[in-house]
Amino acid sequence: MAWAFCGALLLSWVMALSAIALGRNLTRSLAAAYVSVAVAIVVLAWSGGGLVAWCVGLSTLAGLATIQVVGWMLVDVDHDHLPPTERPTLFARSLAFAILAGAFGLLFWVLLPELAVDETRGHAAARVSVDSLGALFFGDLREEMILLGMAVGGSLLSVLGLLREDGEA
Amino acid sequence: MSGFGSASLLLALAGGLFWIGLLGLLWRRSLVGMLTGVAFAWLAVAVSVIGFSLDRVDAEGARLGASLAVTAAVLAGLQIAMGLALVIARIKRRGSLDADDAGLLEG
Repeated sequence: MAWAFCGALLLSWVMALSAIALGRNLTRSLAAAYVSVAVAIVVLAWSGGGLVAWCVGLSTLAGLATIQVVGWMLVDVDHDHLPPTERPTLFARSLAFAILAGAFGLLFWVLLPELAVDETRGHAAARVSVDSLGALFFGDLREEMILLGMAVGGSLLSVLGLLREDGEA
Repeated sequence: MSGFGSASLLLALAGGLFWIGLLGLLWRRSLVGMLTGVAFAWLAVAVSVIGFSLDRVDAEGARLGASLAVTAAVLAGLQIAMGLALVIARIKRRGSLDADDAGLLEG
């Protein structure tokens, strides 16, 4: 079980990396992204994430599907036709990401004694239900939800403004 | 429902996904590809929140963690919608999805 759990984690990470590395082909990139998110949902649900894991995963999948639909309208899905990046820029970016990966690697090295599969954890999901979240969002967090509602409204109006044709109402 | 896993392993996954999101956002030149990176970065945030909330033994802590993860998911959706609208507007005006060409504000 522990090996299966770790294998699923690794698979999600590898597929996410493939989604970025295959970015010149939009269809393959998003297919890899779908697999990565689906495996991440399984991992989160396996860990006891419950309802929240499904909400987060399904909303991410919906976002990726939206990107795919819009991408199909705008780009050649088989090849992005962008000219190759200049060598100095490529080197600088590679160095920056290698340093960042090294920083994460050091962080994981520090966490190494704690990186273990724990079969006694993962009971948080039992305490989170739709009713309890609703009571929280519209109870103690109602003021924060007003702010979130304003953000939603503002974003949708901005999208409408960006999508309308120039010179039309 | 009981679970199985490790909060620290989930945090490691979150760190890896966030790195990949940054990789996509800063490495990819296609604006649509950048949005894929942004989606992974937001997923990493939500995974890390869920990972931290697994350690909470009180019901209120678990619910607060869940509310933060759901809020992050909603904000991710809004950001992707805004980003796609900007991409469409860019296509209408310039006809190119190359982020390197979007240098109008550069000094």
